[in-house]
Amino acid sequence: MERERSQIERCAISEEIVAYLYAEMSAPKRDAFENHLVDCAACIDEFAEMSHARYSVYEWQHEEFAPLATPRFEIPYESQRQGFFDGLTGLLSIRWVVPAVAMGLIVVAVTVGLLGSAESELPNPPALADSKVGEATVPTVSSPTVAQAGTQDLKTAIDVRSSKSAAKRTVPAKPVRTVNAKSTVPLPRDPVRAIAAASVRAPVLSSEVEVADRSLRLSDIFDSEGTR
Amino acid sequence: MFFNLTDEELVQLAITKDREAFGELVRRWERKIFALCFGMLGREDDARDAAQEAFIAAYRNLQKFRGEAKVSSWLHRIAVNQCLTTKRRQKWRAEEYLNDDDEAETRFFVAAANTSPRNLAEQGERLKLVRLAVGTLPLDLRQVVVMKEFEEMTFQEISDTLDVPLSTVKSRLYTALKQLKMKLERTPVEVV
Repeated sequence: MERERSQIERCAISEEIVAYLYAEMSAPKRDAFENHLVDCAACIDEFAEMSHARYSVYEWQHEEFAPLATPRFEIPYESQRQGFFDGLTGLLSIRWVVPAVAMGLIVVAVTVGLLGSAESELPNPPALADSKVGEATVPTVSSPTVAQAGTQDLKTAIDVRSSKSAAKRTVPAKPVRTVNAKSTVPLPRDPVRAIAAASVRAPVLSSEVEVADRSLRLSDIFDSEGTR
Repeated sequence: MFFNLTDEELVQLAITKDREAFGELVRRWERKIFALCFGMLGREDDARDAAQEAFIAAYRNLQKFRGEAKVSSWLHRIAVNQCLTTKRRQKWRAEEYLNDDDEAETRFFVAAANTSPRNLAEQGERLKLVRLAVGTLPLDLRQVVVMKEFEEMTFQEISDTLDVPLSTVKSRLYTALKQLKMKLERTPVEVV
């Protein structure tokens, strides 16, 4: 016994025995160990004892523990009340939610940007009350004024009797014709009407004529014929 | 009838063709020979076949036993040689079959079925002893045994987990197996 123990100590294979038992040995070392076993009776007995002890534990583990069923744990996730943030976290954990939300925000931002730039490009609508640009009005002049126009522009003598019903008309902005600097009267917008108005001299009726009597007096006619 | 005889006396009786004597020898050593074969081959099926072939070889070579060494050593050597032969054979072909002649002799030495009441009772007692023996190991030795046998960790993993050198892990495991052997031998399995 003592001789065998000293033999084993000389062989120094205690670590090799456990490595070989659990198959954690390289192929060359394994071959060398097996060759040694064949030649060394003491190491064979030692290896046999270690094998028996190891197999006893192995058998115990396989007979008592391996047949035991693995416990199965069920966690009732559904019955747990989720807080607001738990639900939000669960919603955000869905794959498509975050990209969809991001895409939606991008679309809204682009739309707002486009609308803002479109509004800035539109021309300002003319103000109907106080616009001064291109405003043309029918001049309401109390007395006729003849302007000496040195240009070929229309010469107009406007004799317009203002009346309370004359409305101040405003027309869309048009470029105002430049007139001679001496001209003090703005040219009428409607030259045809202005000529028609100028060629017809409204008869000056006496104030005594009643409005209902529209016939001309012979005297008035003869007077005009007599002067020819 | 044979349980009072020593191993050498059983061998002498077996030499005289007393098959029952050899059967008793097989019954005494089948578990340890099987464990040795399992240690070398790593698989229970291969270990069982190798152990059977080892006993067949021992029966065939009873005449060559001179009594210079112990019967256990003699059986161990036969078993080791048989395992090495099995390993070489496994390298050449996938499966190994016993021929008819071997099967005839093997049938005589087949160990008692594990499902017999006696065997089941012995096994139960043995498991109790092992549980007790492992439980009484020192903590550092028990740790290594559990991590190796139950968790199936490698030596390196055990070394990293316990933060000890690799050689220390192997040394502790060797010492643990040594102590287990002594505890199990001290308390033989007795089936009433």
